[in-house]
Amino acid sequence: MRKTKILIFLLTTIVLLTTIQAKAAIGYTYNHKGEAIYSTIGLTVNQDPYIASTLGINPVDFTSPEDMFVYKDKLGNETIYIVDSVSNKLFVFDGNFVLQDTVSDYKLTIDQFSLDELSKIKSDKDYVVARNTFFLQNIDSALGKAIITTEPVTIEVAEMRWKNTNDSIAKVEQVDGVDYVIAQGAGQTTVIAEFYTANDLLKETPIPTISQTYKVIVTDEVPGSIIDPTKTNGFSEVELNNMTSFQLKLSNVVCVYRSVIEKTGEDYIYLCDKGNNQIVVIDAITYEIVKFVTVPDDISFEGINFSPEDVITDITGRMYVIADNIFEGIIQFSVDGIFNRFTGVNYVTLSAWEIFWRNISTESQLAKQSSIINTSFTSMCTNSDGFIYSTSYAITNDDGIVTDDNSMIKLINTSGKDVIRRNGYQSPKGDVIYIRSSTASAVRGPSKLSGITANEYGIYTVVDSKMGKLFTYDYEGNLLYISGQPLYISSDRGSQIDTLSNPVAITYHGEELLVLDKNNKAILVYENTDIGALINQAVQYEYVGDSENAALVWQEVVKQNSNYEYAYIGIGKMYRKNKDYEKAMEYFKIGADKDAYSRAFKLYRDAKIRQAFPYIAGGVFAIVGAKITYNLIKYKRFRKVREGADDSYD
Amino acid sequence: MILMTKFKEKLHHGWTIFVAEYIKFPVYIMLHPLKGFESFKRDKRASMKVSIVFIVALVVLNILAFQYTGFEMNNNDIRDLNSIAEIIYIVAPIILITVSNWAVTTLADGKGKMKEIFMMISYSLFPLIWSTGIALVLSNFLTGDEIAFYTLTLSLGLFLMGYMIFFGMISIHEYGLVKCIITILGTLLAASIIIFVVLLGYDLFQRIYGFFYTVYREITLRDLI
Repeated sequence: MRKTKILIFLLTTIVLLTTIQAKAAIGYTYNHKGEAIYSTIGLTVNQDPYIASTLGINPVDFTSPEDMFVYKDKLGNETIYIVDSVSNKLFVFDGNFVLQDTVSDYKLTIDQFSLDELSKIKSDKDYVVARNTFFLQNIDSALGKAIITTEPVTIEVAEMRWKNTNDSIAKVEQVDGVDYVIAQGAGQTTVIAEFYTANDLLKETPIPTISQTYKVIVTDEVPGSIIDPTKTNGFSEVELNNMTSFQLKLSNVVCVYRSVIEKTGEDYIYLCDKGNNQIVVIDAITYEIVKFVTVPDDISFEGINFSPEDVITDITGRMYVIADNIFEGIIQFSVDGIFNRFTGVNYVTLSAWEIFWRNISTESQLAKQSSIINTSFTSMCTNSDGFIYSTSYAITNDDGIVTDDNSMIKLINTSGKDVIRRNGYQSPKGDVIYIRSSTASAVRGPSKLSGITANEYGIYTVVDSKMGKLFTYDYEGNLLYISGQPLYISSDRGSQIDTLSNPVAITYHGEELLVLDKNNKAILVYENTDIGALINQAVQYEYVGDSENAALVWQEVVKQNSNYEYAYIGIGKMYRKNKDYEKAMEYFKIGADKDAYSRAFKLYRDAKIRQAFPYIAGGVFAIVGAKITYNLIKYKRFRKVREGADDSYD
Repeated sequence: MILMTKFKEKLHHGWTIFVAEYIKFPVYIMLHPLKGFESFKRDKRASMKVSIVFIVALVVLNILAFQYTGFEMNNNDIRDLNSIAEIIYIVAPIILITVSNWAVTTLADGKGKMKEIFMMISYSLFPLIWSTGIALVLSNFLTGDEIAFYTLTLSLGLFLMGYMIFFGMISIHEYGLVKCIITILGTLLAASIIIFVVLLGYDLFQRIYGFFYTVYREITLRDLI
């Protein structure tokens, strides 16, 4: 009986040991050769995401969240801003996601702006100042003036002629016997109507009785369509003069940012009003409109529909803007919203070979070649030095083949140069291995980085909207950990609570990481896993130069994940500092850091030589000494013999 | 006692021959390429044995270098080591050059036989063998800053190999300078044609194999039903 009991116990133990396996944290990283290897994740979701109901927002207003920004004032109080591009509302929360305010209309005081400024501003997709309507009711030739209405009517004059100043924007054509202004392309132009009476036409060079100039502004009309004169719901100049203020309505708000200009203490919120082609700057407390940035008056922006996507400022209040269809780089505006320059330009570089071929190719050959297209930026954030971290898509050519994926993440300094460190095993770029060509466009190509955030000790995290992954790097460009659930099946995208479907904004919130997901309409709160927290701590120690404490933490990291190659370098540094070069070399070798290994090896070699030098020198001296003595003795003997011989001669 | 002395004598004799055949003569060729290859051909001082040993030595050294080159200079992963591939990387180009050079020089009044061409190329590996060996040892004592010495050693070996092959061609085929250069270019052309034909044949073979394999599968599958 006892035996059977023991047998049963043994059997159950064996079965349990062999069948039940602890589910290891699923994750991967890239080793020094760029191969994907199993690793631990650094960030994980431990709580329910914030959705409209938990945030205290009407779900109708929260259908398309676009951007999230965490503002920290000098006292450390946090304010979280979220914007929605459909309801165009700005939601203001405190640090614990308690709703403080919902802003949808922004008060614009007319006295603060000149008429010229007002005429450039749009509200709810229309210009604030009503456009001149350009249809004529009739002509009273006796009065010599035209009555302007919005109704298209035939004209009762002897003859009228239209003059267009710019055919590429708008021109006048007859449709069913009625004159209409037909849109041709975005822009601003004038149309001149000249009315001739029968008397005018009798003269040799007819001069019109009335010549009326009308301002025509084409925005989003399809070329060839009739510009609807009733479309505008702006105010006329007279109306504006009688008002003190009105509520501006934004359209398609895609970005929110808040900062204080250090010099003046002005505390502003910046909103990208994409549908209205402008950036609206509002007071952070009163939400009243302070200033605007509209399409810059520069040759680079001619014929381009200015659609700001992202805005941030530096400490002096200069604005940096990413806009759709602008490939020159990040647009820099002065504090007053005047276009300064492009910065952080994505240079396309050609090799000497390509330049040579391009020089000797004919025009038609060049036309057939696939051109290399520059890519636009996708997101920005500032670090503690006021430099700008930016992400962009990889540079591809016409065929969609990636030509450069190493400059997707940049750190742009105040003079516009990319100063990011790329000292890791690979340069920071999200996924290192990806399918380069396939028919399934969903999984093809490099990471599509859609957000970036940096913390106070140089760690930055980017989010890949293609695979729903978070990649965390340290200030040297080492890949620390990859988090987020893998999304291999596109139909399964974001169906789980902690998978990312379409992450649009990402920001550090203390030690937590907040990710705003547009498709899930949720804010996911990522917290560090145990090992993630350890890695962060080690990086923090290294950031302040405390390599010994860092090494202690790295040792703990290696205990938890022996695949973590970068940690071995940190441990090796400690040994190098303690002058145990042999051990340091061993660790640098595991960490695949050739530079550090080389330096340690040099010190090791020098130490060995120093150690061995007395013996070598002693040995050499001994041999030389022995030789000399031997020679001396031999010489003496020889002399003796010679002397003896001499004697014999005598 | 007599046996012992005899063995010693034999050993000494063998050593002398080894030094003369494997070191002194190749060094002599390297330093006096025209004269050296002259005696290489006229006096039949070259031997097939030495040629084979040189090739084997280079293969072995290359495999050793794959694994034991110092960490700073070593970009190989030991898991990628494939000794068969290492052998092919060395033997295949030698055979290719030999055959294509023979093919070109036969047409251009070259006096060299295929065996001589093969042995000439093998003897020319001599500096490369030494430089590979020296670089292998050196790489374990050099730091990353001194990597130039390592590359210098290797490139010196390569350069001397090219130098020996060039003069070997002149001597063996009894050519002038211009003709030698022209035949070298012709050799490269012939080599690329051979590669092309081999690849074409390989592709053709694959297609034919594929065709017969499909036929075979079709028949077997049908018969089974």
